[in-house]
Amino acid sequence: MVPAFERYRDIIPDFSSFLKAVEIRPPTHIRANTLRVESDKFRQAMAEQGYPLAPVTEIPEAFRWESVENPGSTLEYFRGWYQVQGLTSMLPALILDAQAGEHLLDLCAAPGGKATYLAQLTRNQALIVANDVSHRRIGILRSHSDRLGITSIIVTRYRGQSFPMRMRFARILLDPPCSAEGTYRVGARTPLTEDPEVSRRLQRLQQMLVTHGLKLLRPGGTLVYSTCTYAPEENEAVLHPVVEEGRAELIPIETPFPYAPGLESWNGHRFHPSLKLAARFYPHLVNSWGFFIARLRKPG
Amino acid sequence: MLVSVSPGEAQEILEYWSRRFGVPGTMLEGLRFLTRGKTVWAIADVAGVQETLTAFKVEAAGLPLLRKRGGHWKPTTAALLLLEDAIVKNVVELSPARLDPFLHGQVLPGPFLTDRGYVAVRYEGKILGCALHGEAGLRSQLPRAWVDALMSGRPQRGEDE
Repeated sequence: MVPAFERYRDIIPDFSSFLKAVEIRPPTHIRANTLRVESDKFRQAMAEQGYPLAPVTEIPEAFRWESVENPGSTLEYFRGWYQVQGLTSMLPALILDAQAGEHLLDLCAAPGGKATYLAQLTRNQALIVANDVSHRRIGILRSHSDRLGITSIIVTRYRGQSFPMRMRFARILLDPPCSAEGTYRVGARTPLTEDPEVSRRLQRLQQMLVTHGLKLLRPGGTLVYSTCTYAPEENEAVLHPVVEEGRAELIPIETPFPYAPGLESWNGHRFHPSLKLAARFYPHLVNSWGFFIARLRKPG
Repeated sequence: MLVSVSPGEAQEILEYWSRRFGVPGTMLEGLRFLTRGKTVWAIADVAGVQETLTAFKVEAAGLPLLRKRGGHWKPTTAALLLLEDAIVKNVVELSPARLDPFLHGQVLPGPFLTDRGYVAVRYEGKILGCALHGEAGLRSQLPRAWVDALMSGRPQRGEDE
Protein backbone atom coordinates (compact mmCIF):
# COMPACT_ATOMS: atom_id res chain seq x y z
CA MET A 1 0.00 0.00 0.00
CA VAL A 2 1.13 3.56 -0.61
CA PRO A 3 1.83 4.86 2.92
CA ALA A 4 0.57 8.35 2.04
CA PHE A 5 -2.93 6.97 1.62
CA GLU A 6 -3.16 5.28 5.03
CA ARG A 7 -4.28 8.52 6.64
CA TYR A 8 -7.37 8.50 4.43
CA ARG A 9 -8.61 5.13 5.70
CA ASP A 10 -11.48 6.72 7.61
CA ILE A 11 -12.63 9.18 4.96
CA ILE A 12 -12.51 7.23 1.71
CA PRO A 13 -15.53 4.99 1.38
CA ASP A 14 -14.77 1.30 0.72
CA PHE A 15 -11.09 1.93 1.40
CA SER A 16 -9.95 -1.56 0.38
CA SER A 17 -11.49 -1.10 -3.09
CA PHE A 18 -9.77 2.27 -3.34
CA LEU A 19 -6.41 0.66 -2.56
CA LYS A 20 -6.99 -1.98 -5.21
CA ALA A 21 -7.99 0.68 -7.77
CA VAL A 22 -4.80 2.71 -7.33
CA GLU A 23 -2.79 -0.42 -8.06
CA ILE A 24 -4.44 -0.78 -11.47
CA ARG A 25 -3.28 1.15 -14.49
CA PRO A 26 -5.95 3.70 -15.45
CA PRO A 27 -7.43 3.82 -18.94
CA THR A 28 -6.53 6.60 -21.33
CA HIS A 29 -9.34 9.04 -21.96
CA ILE A 30 -9.56 11.48 -24.80
CA ARG A 31 -12.14 14.03 -25.85
CA ALA A 32 -13.14 14.66 -29.41
CA ASN A 33 -12.63 18.27 -30.44
CA THR A 34 -16.16 19.02 -31.58
CA LEU A 35 -14.98 22.33 -32.99
CA ARG A 36 -13.33 20.16 -35.66
CA VAL A 37 -15.34 16.96 -35.90
CA GLU A 38 -18.57 15.51 -34.58
CA SER A 39 -18.15 12.83 -31.94
CA ASP A 40 -19.73 10.02 -33.99
CA LYS A 41 -17.71 10.84 -37.08
CA PHE A 42 -14.58 11.06 -34.96
CA ARG A 43 -15.10 7.63 -33.44
CA GLN A 44 -15.71 6.15 -36.87
CA ALA A 45 -12.61 7.81 -38.33
CA MET A 46 -10.47 6.54 -35.47
CA ALA A 47 -11.83 3.02 -35.92
CA GLU A 48 -10.94 3.16 -39.62
CA GLN A 49 -7.36 3.98 -38.61
CA GLY A 50 -7.30 0.96 -36.30
CA TYR A 51 -7.90 2.87 -33.06
CA PRO A 52 -10.99 1.39 -31.39
CA LEU A 53 -12.57 3.76 -28.89
CA ALA A 54 -15.21 3.02 -26.28
CA PRO A 55 -17.75 5.78 -25.69
CA VAL A 56 -18.22 7.36 -22.28
CA THR A 57 -21.98 7.57 -22.12
CA GLU A 58 -22.03 10.42 -19.60
CA ILE A 59 -19.96 12.77 -21.81
CA PRO A 60 -20.74 12.51 -25.54
CA GLU A 61 -17.33 13.80 -26.66
CA ALA A 62 -15.33 11.60 -24.25
CA PHE A 63 -13.90 8.22 -25.19
CA ARG A 64 -11.88 5.52 -23.47
CA TRP A 65 -8.90 4.21 -25.39
CA GLU A 66 -7.65 0.89 -24.09
CA SER A 67 -4.09 -0.33 -24.41
CA VAL A 68 -2.70 2.72 -26.12
CA GLU A 69 0.88 3.65 -25.37
CA ASN A 70 1.19 6.91 -27.26
CA PRO A 71 -2.18 8.59 -27.73
CA GLY A 72 -0.55 11.77 -28.99
CA SER A 73 1.28 10.20 -31.91
CA THR A 74 -1.47 10.02 -34.51
CA LEU A 75 -2.25 12.23 -37.45
CA GLU A 76 -5.70 12.81 -35.96
CA TYR A 77 -4.09 14.26 -32.83
CA PHE A 78 -1.78 16.37 -34.99
CA ARG A 79 -4.82 17.71 -36.84
CA GLY A 80 -6.47 18.70 -33.56
CA TRP A 81 -9.28 16.18 -33.69
CA TYR A 82 -8.86 15.25 -30.04
CA GLN A 83 -7.16 16.08 -26.78
CA VAL A 84 -5.79 13.59 -24.26
CA GLN A 85 -7.44 14.36 -20.96
CA GLY A 86 -8.34 12.40 -17.84
CA LEU A 87 -12.05 11.80 -17.48
CA THR A 88 -12.31 13.53 -14.11
CA SER A 89 -10.16 16.36 -15.44
CA MET A 90 -12.96 17.12 -17.91
CA LEU A 91 -15.47 17.67 -15.12
CA PRO A 92 -14.45 21.13 -13.81
CA ALA A 93 -15.08 22.73 -17.21
CA LEU A 94 -18.45 20.97 -17.50
CA ILE A 95 -19.44 21.95 -13.96
CA LEU A 96 -18.53 25.59 -14.58
CA ASP A 97 -21.40 25.61 -17.09
CA ALA A 98 -20.01 28.54 -19.07
CA GLN A 99 -22.16 30.27 -21.69
CA ALA A 100 -21.38 31.94 -25.00
CA GLY A 101 -20.64 35.64 -24.66
CA GLU A 102 -19.38 35.37 -21.08
CA HIS A 103 -15.98 36.46 -19.82
CA LEU A 104 -14.19 33.55 -18.17
CA LEU A 105 -10.91 33.25 -16.29
CA ASP A 106 -8.85 30.11 -15.86
CA LEU A 107 -6.44 31.34 -13.22
CA CYS A 108 -3.91 28.46 -13.29
CA ALA A 109 -4.58 27.29 -16.83
CA ALA A 110 -1.50 25.50 -18.15
CA PRO A 111 -1.14 23.03 -19.77
CA GLY A 112 -4.58 24.00 -21.02
CA GLY A 113 -6.82 20.94 -21.03
CA LYS A 114 -9.57 22.67 -19.09
CA ALA A 115 -9.28 26.04 -20.83
CA THR A 116 -9.43 24.49 -24.29
CA TYR A 117 -12.40 22.39 -23.20
CA LEU A 118 -14.15 25.58 -22.05
CA ALA A 119 -13.53 27.03 -25.50
CA GLN A 120 -14.97 23.90 -27.07
CA LEU A 121 -18.04 23.87 -24.83
CA THR A 122 -18.76 27.51 -25.63
CA ARG A 123 -18.11 26.97 -29.37
CA ASN A 124 -15.35 29.61 -29.36
CA GLN A 125 -18.00 32.19 -28.45
CA ALA A 126 -16.96 33.06 -24.89
CA LEU A 127 -13.88 35.07 -24.02
CA ILE A 128 -11.47 32.99 -21.96
CA VAL A 129 -8.47 34.47 -20.22
CA ALA A 130 -6.11 31.55 -19.65
CA ASN A 131 -3.46 32.58 -17.13
CA ASP A 132 -0.45 30.78 -15.79
CA VAL A 133 2.78 31.87 -14.20
CA SER A 134 5.00 29.32 -15.95
CA HIS A 135 6.46 30.41 -19.26
CA ARG A 136 7.27 26.81 -20.23
CA ARG A 137 3.79 25.53 -19.44
CA ILE A 138 2.19 28.46 -21.25
CA GLY A 139 4.09 27.33 -24.34
CA ILE A 140 2.39 23.94 -24.07
CA LEU A 141 -1.00 25.60 -23.58
CA ARG A 142 -0.52 27.72 -26.68
CA SER A 143 0.53 24.72 -28.71
CA HIS A 144 -2.59 22.79 -27.69
CA SER A 145 -4.81 25.81 -28.29
CA ASP A 146 -3.42 26.36 -31.80
CA ARG A 147 -3.63 22.69 -32.70
CA LEU A 148 -7.24 22.49 -31.53
CA GLY A 149 -8.27 25.59 -33.50
CA ILE A 150 -9.18 27.72 -30.47
CA THR A 151 -9.88 31.36 -31.32
CA SER A 152 -11.40 32.50 -28.02
CA ILE A 153 -8.48 32.24 -25.59
CA ILE A 154 -6.33 35.14 -24.44
CA VAL A 155 -3.17 33.95 -22.72
CA THR A 156 -1.63 35.93 -19.84
CA ARG A 157 1.28 35.21 -17.53
CA TYR A 158 0.76 36.56 -14.04
CA ARG A 159 1.12 35.02 -10.62
CA GLY A 160 -2.42 33.91 -9.97
CA GLN A 161 -2.55 35.48 -6.53
CA SER A 162 -1.70 38.89 -7.98
CA PHE A 163 -3.64 38.74 -11.25
CA PRO A 164 -4.54 42.39 -12.04
CA MET A 165 -7.90 43.53 -10.69
CA ARG A 166 -8.83 45.38 -13.86
CA MET A 167 -12.04 43.57 -14.69
CA ARG A 168 -14.48 41.10 -13.14
CA PHE A 169 -15.33 37.74 -14.64
CA ALA A 170 -18.65 35.94 -14.85
CA ARG A 171 -17.07 32.56 -14.11
CA ILE A 172 -13.67 31.46 -12.89
CA LEU A 173 -12.01 28.09 -12.96
CA LEU A 174 -9.36 27.61 -10.30
CA ASP A 175 -7.29 24.45 -10.50
CA PRO A 176 -4.29 25.45 -8.38
CA PRO A 177 -0.98 23.67 -7.93
CA CYS A 178 -1.57 20.69 -5.66
CA SER A 179 0.18 17.60 -4.35
CA ALA A 180 -1.40 15.58 -7.18
CA GLU A 181 -2.01 12.47 -5.11
CA GLY A 182 -4.99 11.67 -7.29
CA THR A 183 -2.72 11.01 -10.24
CA TYR A 184 -1.09 8.13 -8.42
CA ARG A 185 -2.16 5.00 -10.26
CA VAL A 186 0.07 2.14 -11.26
CA GLY A 187 1.86 2.94 -14.49
CA ALA A 188 1.42 6.63 -13.89
CA ARG A 189 3.43 9.15 -11.97
CA THR A 190 4.03 8.75 -8.28
CA PRO A 191 2.79 11.23 -5.70
CA LEU A 192 4.96 14.27 -5.36
CA THR A 193 5.37 13.56 -1.68
CA GLU A 194 4.14 11.51 1.19
CA ASP A 195 4.73 14.38 3.61
CA PRO A 196 1.50 16.10 4.76
CA GLU A 197 3.57 19.19 5.51
CA VAL A 198 3.82 19.76 1.75
CA SER A 199 0.03 19.84 1.56
CA ARG A 200 -0.03 22.41 4.33
CA ARG A 201 2.47 24.59 2.47
CA LEU A 202 0.46 24.29 -0.74
CA GLN A 203 -2.63 25.19 1.29
CA ARG A 204 -1.29 28.69 1.89
CA LEU A 205 -0.86 29.26 -1.85
CA GLN A 206 -4.27 27.75 -2.60
CA GLN A 207 -5.93 30.01 -0.01
CA MET A 208 -4.31 33.07 -1.54
CA LEU A 209 -5.48 31.95 -4.99
CA VAL A 210 -9.07 31.32 -3.96
CA THR A 211 -9.23 34.59 -2.02
CA HIS A 212 -7.94 36.52 -5.01
CA GLY A 213 -10.08 34.52 -7.44
CA LEU A 214 -13.22 35.52 -5.56
CA LYS A 215 -12.20 39.18 -5.74
CA LEU A 216 -11.94 38.80 -9.52
CA LEU A 217 -15.43 37.32 -9.72
CA ARG A 218 -18.54 39.35 -10.39
CA PRO A 219 -21.19 39.35 -7.65
CA GLY A 220 -23.38 36.35 -8.30
CA GLY A 221 -20.64 34.72 -10.36
CA THR A 222 -19.46 31.12 -10.15
CA LEU A 223 -16.02 29.83 -9.24
CA VAL A 224 -15.18 26.15 -9.63
CA TYR A 225 -12.31 25.00 -7.43
CA SER A 226 -10.67 21.72 -8.32
CA THR A 227 -7.59 19.73 -7.40
CA CYS A 228 -6.29 16.28 -8.22
CA THR A 229 -5.49 15.46 -4.62
CA TYR A 230 -7.28 13.73 -1.76
CA ALA A 231 -5.62 15.89 0.91
CA PRO A 232 -8.29 17.72 2.95
CA GLU A 233 -5.64 20.35 3.74
CA GLU A 234 -5.76 21.35 0.05
CA ASN A 235 -9.49 20.99 -0.41
CA GLU A 236 -12.05 21.47 2.35
CA ALA A 237 -9.56 23.30 4.60
CA VAL A 238 -8.88 25.81 1.81
CA LEU A 239 -12.55 26.54 1.25
CA HIS A 240 -13.69 26.47 4.88
CA PRO A 241 -12.71 30.07 5.79
CA VAL A 242 -14.12 31.38 2.52
CA VAL A 243 -17.53 29.89 3.27
CA GLU A 244 -17.38 30.53 7.02
CA GLU A 245 -16.74 34.24 6.42
CA GLY A 246 -19.53 34.50 3.84
CA ARG A 247 -17.24 35.35 0.93
CA ALA A 248 -18.86 32.55 -1.10
CA GLU A 249 -21.39 29.78 -0.73
CA LEU A 250 -21.17 26.21 -1.90
CA ILE A 251 -23.73 25.21 -4.47
CA PRO A 252 -24.59 21.65 -5.50
CA ILE A 253 -22.72 19.95 -8.30
CA GLU A 254 -24.55 18.21 -11.08
CA THR A 255 -22.64 15.32 -12.59
CA PRO A 256 -23.70 11.85 -13.69
CA PHE A 257 -20.59 10.29 -12.15
CA PRO A 258 -20.59 8.79 -8.65
CA TYR A 259 -18.70 10.66 -5.97
CA ALA A 260 -18.36 10.98 -2.22
CA PRO A 261 -19.45 14.22 -0.56
CA GLY A 262 -16.95 16.73 0.76
CA LEU A 263 -15.81 16.32 4.35
CA GLU A 264 -17.39 18.05 7.31
CA SER A 265 -14.49 17.24 9.58
CA TRP A 266 -10.92 15.98 9.44
CA ASN A 267 -8.35 15.24 12.12
CA GLY A 268 -10.33 17.08 14.76
CA HIS A 269 -11.04 20.13 12.55
CA ARG A 270 -14.65 20.88 11.75
CA PHE A 271 -15.48 22.36 8.35
CA HIS A 272 -18.50 24.40 7.35
CA PRO A 273 -21.37 21.91 6.90
CA SER A 274 -22.05 23.11 3.35
CA LEU A 275 -18.70 21.64 2.28
CA LYS A 276 -20.50 18.34 1.95
CA LEU A 277 -21.81 19.81 -1.32
CA ALA A 278 -18.31 19.47 -2.77
CA ALA A 279 -17.47 16.28 -4.64
CA ARG A 280 -14.67 13.80 -4.04
CA PHE A 281 -14.01 11.54 -7.01
CA TYR A 282 -12.17 8.32 -6.26
CA PRO A 283 -10.69 5.86 -8.78
CA HIS A 284 -12.75 2.93 -7.50
CA LEU A 285 -15.92 4.94 -8.19
CA VAL A 286 -14.83 6.57 -11.47
CA ASN A 287 -11.97 4.81 -13.25
CA SER A 288 -9.79 7.87 -13.72
CA TRP A 289 -7.73 10.22 -11.57
CA GLY A 290 -8.76 11.18 -8.06
CA PHE A 291 -10.28 14.65 -8.02
CA PHE A 292 -11.92 17.18 -5.70
CA ILE A 293 -14.38 19.69 -7.15
CA ALA A 294 -16.36 22.42 -5.44
CA ARG A 295 -18.67 24.96 -7.01
CA LEU A 296 -18.90 28.32 -5.27
CA ARG A 297 -21.13 31.30 -5.81
CA LYS A 298 -20.15 34.81 -4.81
CA PRO A 299 -23.00 36.61 -3.04
CA GLY A 300 -24.83 39.01 -5.32
CA MET B 1 1.41 44.98 -27.46
CA LEU B 2 -1.25 43.41 -29.64
CA VAL B 3 -3.21 45.92 -31.68
CA SER B 4 -6.09 45.60 -34.10
CA VAL B 5 -5.07 45.78 -37.74
CA SER B 6 -6.32 48.72 -39.79
CA PRO B 7 -9.36 48.23 -42.07
CA GLY B 8 -6.98 48.27 -45.04
CA GLU B 9 -4.79 45.56 -43.52
CA ALA B 10 -7.87 43.48 -42.68
CA GLN B 11 -8.92 43.69 -46.31
CA GLU B 12 -5.42 42.68 -47.39
CA ILE B 13 -5.58 39.62 -45.12
CA LEU B 14 -8.95 38.55 -46.52
CA GLU B 15 -7.71 39.04 -50.07
CA TYR B 16 -4.61 36.95 -49.36
CA TRP B 17 -6.66 33.96 -48.19
CA SER B 18 -9.02 34.29 -51.13
CA ARG B 19 -6.30 34.74 -53.75
CA ARG B 20 -3.89 32.12 -52.41
CA PHE B 21 -6.20 29.37 -51.16
CA GLY B 22 -9.65 30.28 -52.48
CA VAL B 23 -10.97 30.82 -48.96
CA PRO B 24 -14.01 33.13 -49.05
CA GLY B 25 -14.10 36.04 -46.65
CA THR B 26 -17.19 34.60 -44.98
CA MET B 27 -14.98 31.89 -43.46
CA LEU B 28 -13.24 34.56 -41.42
CA GLU B 29 -16.37 36.39 -40.33
CA GLY B 30 -16.72 36.81 -36.60
CA LEU B 31 -12.97 37.06 -36.16
CA ARG B 32 -10.97 40.15 -35.30
CA PHE B 33 -7.43 40.46 -36.63
CA LEU B 34 -4.66 41.58 -34.29
CA THR B 35 -0.99 42.11 -34.95
CA ARG B 36 2.24 42.20 -33.00
CA GLY B 37 5.64 42.06 -34.63
CA LYS B 38 5.42 39.84 -37.68
CA THR B 39 2.38 37.81 -36.61
CA VAL B 40 -1.30 38.32 -37.35
CA TRP B 41 -3.72 36.67 -34.92
CA ALA B 42 -7.41 35.91 -35.28
CA ILE B 43 -9.56 36.12 -32.18
CA ALA B 44 -13.28 35.59 -31.75
CA ASP B 45 -14.94 39.00 -31.83
CA VAL B 46 -16.80 38.54 -28.55
CA ALA B 47 -18.17 41.66 -26.86
CA GLY B 48 -15.51 43.13 -24.60
CA VAL B 49 -12.52 41.61 -26.34
CA GLN B 50 -10.85 44.97 -26.94
CA GLU B 51 -11.22 46.00 -23.29
CA THR B 52 -9.76 42.66 -22.20
CA LEU B 53 -6.80 43.00 -24.54
CA THR B 54 -5.96 46.44 -23.20
CA ALA B 55 -6.51 45.49 -19.56
CA PHE B 56 -3.77 42.88 -19.43
CA LYS B 57 -0.29 42.15 -20.67
CA VAL B 58 -1.20 39.54 -23.26
CA GLU B 59 1.11 36.68 -24.26
CA ALA B 60 -1.12 35.41 -27.06
CA ALA B 61 -4.65 36.03 -28.32
CA GLY B 62 -6.70 33.63 -30.37
CA LEU B 63 -4.98 31.74 -33.15
CA PRO B 64 -1.87 32.76 -35.11
CA LEU B 65 -3.09 33.22 -38.67
CA LEU B 66 -0.20 34.61 -40.70
CA ARG B 67 3.42 35.59 -40.30
CA LYS B 68 5.30 38.10 -42.40
CA ARG B 69 8.35 36.55 -44.08
CA GLY B 70 10.49 38.80 -46.22
CA GLY B 71 7.58 40.85 -47.48
CA HIS B 72 5.35 37.81 -48.04
CA TRP B 73 2.62 36.26 -45.94
CA LYS B 74 3.24 32.81 -44.54
CA PRO B 75 0.10 30.97 -43.40
CA THR B 76 0.38 29.03 -40.16
CA THR B 77 -0.43 25.34 -40.01
CA ALA B 78 -2.97 26.17 -37.29
CA ALA B 79 -4.76 28.53 -39.69
CA LEU B 80 -4.73 26.02 -42.57
CA LEU B 81 -6.28 23.42 -40.25
CA LEU B 82 -8.86 25.96 -39.09
CA LEU B 83 -9.85 26.86 -42.64
CA GLU B 84 -9.45 23.34 -44.02
CA ASP B 85 -12.93 22.96 -45.45
CA ALA B 86 -12.62 26.10 -47.56
CA ILE B 87 -9.14 25.57 -49.02
CA VAL B 88 -9.42 24.80 -52.73
CA LYS B 89 -6.24 26.22 -54.29
CA ASN B 90 -2.52 25.64 -53.95
CA VAL B 91 -2.89 22.28 -52.26
CA VAL B 92 -0.38 19.45 -52.63
CA GLU B 93 -1.69 15.95 -51.99
CA LEU B 94 0.96 13.75 -50.38
CA SER B 95 1.13 10.07 -51.24
CA PRO B 96 1.64 7.56 -48.41
CA ALA B 97 5.19 6.93 -49.57
CA ARG B 98 6.06 10.62 -49.27
CA LEU B 99 4.54 11.30 -45.86
CA ASP B 100 7.47 10.12 -43.73
CA PRO B 101 10.20 11.85 -45.77
CA PHE B 102 8.11 15.03 -45.64
CA LEU B 103 7.68 14.81 -41.87
CA HIS B 104 11.40 14.18 -41.48
CA GLY B 105 12.13 17.44 -43.25
CA GLN B 106 13.34 16.09 -46.57
CA VAL B 107 12.77 18.24 -49.63
CA LEU B 108 10.37 16.40 -51.92
CA PRO B 109 11.23 16.84 -55.59
CA GLY B 110 8.48 18.09 -57.89
CA PRO B 111 6.86 18.84 -60.13
CA PHE B 112 3.85 20.15 -58.22
CA LEU B 113 0.85 21.75 -59.88
CA THR B 114 0.73 24.71 -57.52
CA ASP B 115 2.13 28.20 -57.47
CA ARG B 116 5.56 28.69 -55.93
CA GLY B 117 5.53 29.85 -52.34
CA TYR B 118 3.59 28.67 -49.34
CA VAL B 119 1.07 25.92 -50.02
CA ALA B 120 -1.24 23.66 -48.07
CA VAL B 121 -0.37 19.99 -47.79
CA ARG B 122 -3.11 17.40 -47.72
CA TYR B 123 -2.83 13.76 -46.75
CA GLU B 124 -5.59 11.17 -47.12
CA GLY B 125 -7.94 13.95 -48.16
CA LYS B 126 -7.40 16.10 -45.08
CA ILE B 127 -5.20 19.14 -44.58
CA LEU B 128 -1.99 18.49 -42.69
CA GLY B 129 -0.44 21.95 -42.69
CA CYS B 130 1.93 24.31 -44.42
CA ALA B 131 4.82 23.66 -46.80
CA LEU B 132 7.07 25.80 -48.97
CA HIS B 133 7.08 25.05 -52.68
CA GLY B 134 10.46 26.27 -53.87
CA GLU B 135 12.80 25.65 -56.73
CA ALA B 136 14.23 22.48 -55.16
CA GLY B 137 10.85 21.04 -54.28
CA LEU B 138 8.49 20.91 -51.34
CA ARG B 139 9.70 21.47 -47.78
CA SER B 140 7.70 21.06 -44.59
CA GLN B 141 6.78 24.16 -42.60
CA LEU B 142 4.90 22.18 -39.97
CA PRO B 143 5.47 23.19 -36.33
CA ARG B 144 8.52 21.31 -35.09
CA ALA B 145 7.01 20.45 -31.69
CA TRP B 146 3.91 18.95 -33.29
CA VAL B 147 5.98 16.83 -35.66
CA ASP B 148 8.25 15.71 -32.84
CA ALA B 149 5.23 14.55 -30.82
CA LEU B 150 3.91 12.69 -33.83
CA MET B 151 7.21 11.05 -34.71
CA SER B 152 8.42 10.25 -31.24
CA GLY B 153 5.30 8.34 -30.41
CA ARG B 154 4.75 10.39 -27.30
CA PRO B 155 2.30 13.15 -26.49
CA GLN B 156 3.70 16.57 -25.74
CA ARG B 157 4.73 16.98 -22.15
CA GLY B 158 2.10 18.43 -19.92
CA GLU B 159 -0.96 16.51 -21.02
CA ASP B 160 -3.75 17.00 -18.56
CA GLU B 161 -4.18 14.48 -15.84
